[in-house]
Amino acid sequence: MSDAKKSPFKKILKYLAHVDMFILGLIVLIVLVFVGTISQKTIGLHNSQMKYFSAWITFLGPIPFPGARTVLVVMFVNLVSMMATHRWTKKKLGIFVTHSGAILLFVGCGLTGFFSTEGSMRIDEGASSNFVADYHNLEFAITKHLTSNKERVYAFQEGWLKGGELIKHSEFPFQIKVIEFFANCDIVQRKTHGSNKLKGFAKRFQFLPKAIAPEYAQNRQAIIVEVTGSDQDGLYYLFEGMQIDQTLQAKENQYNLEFRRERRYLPFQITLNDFQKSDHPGTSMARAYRSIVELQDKDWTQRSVVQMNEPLRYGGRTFYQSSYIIDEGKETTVLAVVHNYGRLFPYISSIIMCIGLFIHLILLIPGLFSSKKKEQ
Amino acid sequence: MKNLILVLISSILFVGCNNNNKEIKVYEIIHHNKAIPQAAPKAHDPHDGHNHEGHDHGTAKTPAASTSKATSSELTWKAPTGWKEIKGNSIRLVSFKIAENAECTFIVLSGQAGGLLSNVNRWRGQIGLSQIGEPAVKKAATLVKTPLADAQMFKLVNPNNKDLAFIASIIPKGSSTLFVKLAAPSDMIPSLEGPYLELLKSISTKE
Repeated sequence: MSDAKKSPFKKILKYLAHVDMFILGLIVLIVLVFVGTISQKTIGLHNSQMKYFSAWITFLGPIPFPGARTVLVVMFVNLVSMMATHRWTKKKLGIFVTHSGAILLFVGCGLTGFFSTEGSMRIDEGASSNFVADYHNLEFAITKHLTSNKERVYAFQEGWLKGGELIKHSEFPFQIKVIEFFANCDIVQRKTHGSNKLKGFAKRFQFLPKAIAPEYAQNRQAIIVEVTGSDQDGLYYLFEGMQIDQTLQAKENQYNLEFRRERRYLPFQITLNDFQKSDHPGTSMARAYRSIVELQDKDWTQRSVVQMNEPLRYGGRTFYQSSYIIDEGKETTVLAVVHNYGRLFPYISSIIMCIGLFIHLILLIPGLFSSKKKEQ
Repeated sequence: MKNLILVLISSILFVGCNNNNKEIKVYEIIHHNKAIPQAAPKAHDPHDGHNHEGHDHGTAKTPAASTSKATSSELTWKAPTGWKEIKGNSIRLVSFKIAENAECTFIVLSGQAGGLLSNVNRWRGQIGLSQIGEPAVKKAATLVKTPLADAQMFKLVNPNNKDLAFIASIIPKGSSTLFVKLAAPSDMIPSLEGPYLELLKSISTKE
């Protein structure tokens, strides 16, 4: 069939399957890896990852440049189009299997990139927790107290936390305007009491903007919001990790305002039965530490030990022993929680690619002998 | 060239499709027991993958930013006559109202809370004094023996700022640090120094 008689769909597929596109994608990825690695020193690991690898489009100076996410999607489309348009024969079985493995690797990469989550779970000894706090994403949570042990939470994601945004909900008698968001700030005590508009913590402390530190963890995010329509209208200052409740009274209901890391609740809970730490002799430097935990899911309970290189895997999530806090004699374990849907894909696709290459080599062997015979 | 254009067009399309993270999640929480922590203690973030050594990591240097969850039940003190004791919160262990524009506060923070130099310079900055080096800070410190531990006391007065002056002390307290800070107009400082020392020397741990 000539090119002129091909359907438009096949023409597009043929165009998308062009090998130049894959090579161009590889070159762009090399540039991104180089620039991303160099920029880690100045903007930090997380910012570099977000700017060059998790972005659809990025900028090299003033020049717009495709981000790794776009490049990978284009390469994936290119590979799939090639698989769909290529004329496969028995002799090319090895190449087909190898390319299928590569496609699977891209699928796994996409699942990880779009859906995987990472966070931490902090549990005091003897206590339980059923939520994971995200490492990077923030949220503005408004908690309404329904009864003594029941609360209704309205969590507004990070997209709402820009200056000028209006946070409101049909179930609130008030609305909240975001006055300012600080990516990093210093918290300093006011020399004098501020205006009457300042409420709670804001009466005594203020935020001073600070340059963003390369390491994400060194930044202290904060927000200033203005509440109107409540019984206690005014300016509220909140920072991430704040331990003082900023409460608000509106129409005989009490609300708590909290600026915190985004929480993801789990369908089960983990109790820290014991935290054990052993130090290097004569020092307070930890040699090893581990958490004895109890996982409770409905009527089912499992006791586990979480320690270095021995994570707990449950419900698609992996709980790693990450850190600990010993404060005033109270022990708290910090578990890193990873929920990665594409976790098994690299292993499976690598095996498939190896099998493909092996088949390809086997299929080449008869050809090698026949060419030798011809030479003789 | 055609391929490059395609890549750029794809980028723009995907940017257009990208959501702006503006979801509102509404859910209810039932507390079966008080064990589920609602506000975990603030410490360093452990997501860089290496092993941390408890609180000595030093990521949070600002005192107010690295607040300890200490409670007043661990310490005792004797308030000087006329000083009105006001119950504190998780940042302030306790505060004393001395006059309309004078007060004294107890703040307990985890670790060294930024250390001697940065805290003294922060206080100096608050009353308009210039920053000084470590030798000058050590020279300015007065050692006061308290039942809790030896306190390093600083009298910070700016002749050009009559509205605010401090007498502040730093006392190591196990794995945390206690800050006892008196803030008052500079002309009140000489008369408050005696009661302040009296209070400082009365701080001890509960039996």
